Amino acid sequence: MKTLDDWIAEITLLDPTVREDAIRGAPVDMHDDLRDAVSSYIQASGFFEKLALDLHLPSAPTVTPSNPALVGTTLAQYRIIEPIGEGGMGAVYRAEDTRLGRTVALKLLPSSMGADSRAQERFLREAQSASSLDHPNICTIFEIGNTDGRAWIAMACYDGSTLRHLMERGPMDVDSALDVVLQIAAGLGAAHARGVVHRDVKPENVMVLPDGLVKILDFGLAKGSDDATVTQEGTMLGTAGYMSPEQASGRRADHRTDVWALGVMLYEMLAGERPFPGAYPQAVLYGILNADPESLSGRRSGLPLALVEVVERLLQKDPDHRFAGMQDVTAALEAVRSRAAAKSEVRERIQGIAGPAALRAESDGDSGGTAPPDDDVLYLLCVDDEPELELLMQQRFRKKIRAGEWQFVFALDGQDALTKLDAHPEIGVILTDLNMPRMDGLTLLGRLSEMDRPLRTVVVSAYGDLEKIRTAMNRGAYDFVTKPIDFKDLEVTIDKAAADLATYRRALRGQQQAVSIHQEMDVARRIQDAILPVSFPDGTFGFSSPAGEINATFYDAFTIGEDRVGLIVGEVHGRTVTSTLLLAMGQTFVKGLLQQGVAPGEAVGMLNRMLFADDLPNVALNLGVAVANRSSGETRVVQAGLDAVMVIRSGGSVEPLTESGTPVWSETDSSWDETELSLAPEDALVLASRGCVRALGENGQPFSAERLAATLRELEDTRPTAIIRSVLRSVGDHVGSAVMRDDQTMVAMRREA
Amino acid sequence: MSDVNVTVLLNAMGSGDPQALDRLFPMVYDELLQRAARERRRLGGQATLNTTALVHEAYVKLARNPDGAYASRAHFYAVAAKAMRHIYLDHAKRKLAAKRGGGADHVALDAELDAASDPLPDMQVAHAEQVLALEDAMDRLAQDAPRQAQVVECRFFGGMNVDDTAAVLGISPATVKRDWTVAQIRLYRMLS
Repeated sequence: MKTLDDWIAEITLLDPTVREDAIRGAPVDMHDDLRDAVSSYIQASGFFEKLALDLHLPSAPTVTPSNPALVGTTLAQYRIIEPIGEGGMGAVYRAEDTRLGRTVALKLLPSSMGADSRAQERFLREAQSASSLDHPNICTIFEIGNTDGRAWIAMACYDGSTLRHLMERGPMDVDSALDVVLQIAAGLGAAHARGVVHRDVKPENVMVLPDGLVKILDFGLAKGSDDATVTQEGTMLGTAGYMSPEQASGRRADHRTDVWALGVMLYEMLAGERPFPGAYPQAVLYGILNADPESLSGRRSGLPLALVEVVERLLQKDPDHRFAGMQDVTAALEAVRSRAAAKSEVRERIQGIAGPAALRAESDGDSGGTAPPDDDVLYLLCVDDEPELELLMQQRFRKKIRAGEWQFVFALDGQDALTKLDAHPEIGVILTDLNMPRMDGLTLLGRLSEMDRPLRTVVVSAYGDLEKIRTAMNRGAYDFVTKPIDFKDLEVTIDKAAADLATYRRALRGQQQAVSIHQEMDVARRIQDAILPVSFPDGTFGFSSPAGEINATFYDAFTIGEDRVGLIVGEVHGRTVTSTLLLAMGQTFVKGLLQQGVAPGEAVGMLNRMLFADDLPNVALNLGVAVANRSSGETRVVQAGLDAVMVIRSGGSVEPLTESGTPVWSETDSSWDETELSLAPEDALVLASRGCVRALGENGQPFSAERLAATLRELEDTRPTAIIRSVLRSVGDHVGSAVMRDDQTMVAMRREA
Repeated sequence: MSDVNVTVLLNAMGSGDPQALDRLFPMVYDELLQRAARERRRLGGQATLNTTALVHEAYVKLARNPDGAYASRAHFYAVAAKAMRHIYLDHAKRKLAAKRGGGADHVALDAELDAASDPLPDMQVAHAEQVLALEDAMDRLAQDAPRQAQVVECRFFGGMNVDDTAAVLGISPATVKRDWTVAQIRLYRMLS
């Protein structure tokens, strides 16, 4: 049996148009109560929404639902056609302007705000200032008004997709994302210049029209009642993801809050996910205030590093560390765009010829100078409406053609030329006439300049066409020869163009290589930063001094239970992402096992057996592991290819451990013995990377284990920090002016008295 | 106050121990109050308090087990909702007491002290009166329909969504929606 409460709830949640019918379906004695309840519900929910806003409670309303009952009614000269959106500051309807006969988007303020005339006045003033913005990337506001106590705004109604919609199809390509974000930046920049800050930039508020034009919606409408906090509290739950840290913490939000939101959107366009994800607004806000977003390069590989850096700068928590204004953002993004264009061009060119640049860089590094095969043959496109030119060319340049140096493709006009270019990606130099049917040479040049492709065009035209030739040069022609053709001159000109093209291609390849090496190193460095410990257990210390940009070594010092500490030093060959990952895996694996109480010898054995059980990587890992009990002094050491492990006795003597052991991942069935030691109070233990003992000095001699032992014997202070400092100084003295080629990495501990 | 206690109590609450709530409440109340005060000091008197972030931060601090897992979020938010309700009530009472009590100078001084030390943003007198009236109505609702009052507490003061509210009160989401709708109407009628 349904109670009155059941009926009330059921009917109030229905569409207003069918409520009366539903009431008639209820028991007759409830009808009056139901009608009463339904009419109070609107006021009741408005009351609670407003109170939540006033008290800044987390339940403050997020969206104003559209009201289907308004459809068909007329407000001022606007006839409401259908609801098209709901937002924090009111619902939006498609409406017809009956005076001008055009369709508009009509935004109605929430009625909960209508009660507060001060808020309304303020809202309208804001909208007024936004309406003065005249920019192609900002939605046009036609009119603002107040009819029967209801404030409204009439805006241009666009047929397009919101950016939210576009992003639902998955991450966008770099070019499209840059195109959209640059237009948003242009619109926001224009607004900021007039002192208007959006404060609620989000993908739902960005419309992309079919021709690619971007319109920012809801401009300046985001500010609301009492001291601009409605934006923050009122829209909190819906759009927490785009809120800047200053908004999220209730501080003053200036134009740089839009800079932040732009960063969130760009990140989302590229990664397919927001930088601060979370199922609950609380978690999202917590992330915005406290967490560093996962780097874009970790979410999507192959992004230009410069782009990743721009996004990182947009997403600085402190507004002072962001770009100061939209013009700076635009400049940085334009720079990325031109570089990205050059890169995609070269990627196409070298595809299948060079292989991934990073792999080549990892080999001997001498392959960069070898010319790819397509530099050996020059492919020429000859565009002329006189078919006899084809014969002429083939005859005059037959030696070049027979020697396989040149190859010709012929086209009869500009249109034909574009088709041939499509079919022959190998074409590098174009010879073109200017006067041709269908598409002339000047138009062709214009089209070529829009193409994302390295080409050199030589104009071949009548001497009398000098004016046109000048125009052609302005449109990007590389050179020209006049008709009648002097073939000697033409050959020289073609050679010149080809040489120029080859230089250009080489430069692009070099840049591409530099970019990918740089990216690779960047990733490796980040892995490294993430695995090196930031704090040490009492009585331990570790340090790493990498010789190059990427460290091929690591160290760790950590507690195991109450009494014991674990020490690890490891190193691999090579300085690539792969080797860094192997290092990181090895460290994590061994550390995890040790902390679960596995003995060090068994832990190293498990690392060898369990990872890469089927196929050993071709990089071996040199590892030294020690587990020391700080109260009893009982210590176990395992050496897997790491030779420099030494005990410094409190009396000053030094005992090197002589067993160096097999490196991890060099053989599948290796096992490792533990060396058992006893550390007396004030005895110390040092594990050093091989880079320490093998560092070559000016005399070409390695530093050596003997010198390391001697250095340790001379120590006056045997605290871990002092031990490491002394060894580093000693190795540094030895290397002198020679180039340091090895990473020096050490970890040390001392048993306290 | 130890972190372990809170998680233990939250879990006890989840398994239906009625005393867990009584012991948990003061801890959460204190934590929220302290956090609010700290945040107010940090941001200066004029800033708006972000209650959503506040509750979440308190959750992160209190509800973490030693092994890094978190105790039931929904249960914590339910307690936080209750605490938030009391914080607002206490604040409103102080606001109104300051307005009524003592001579004019005394009030001005008190108001200044309040502004400096109060964890919540200044509340308008009208709002304080609404909070007190709502509290009164809530008490009446709790006698008549206790579950509806609980739903209001979770939804209104705790900002919890329908599903979380349902989980914590052990009722269906449809019932939460029903109670929330009906309770708003009832409370509004009592208030007007």
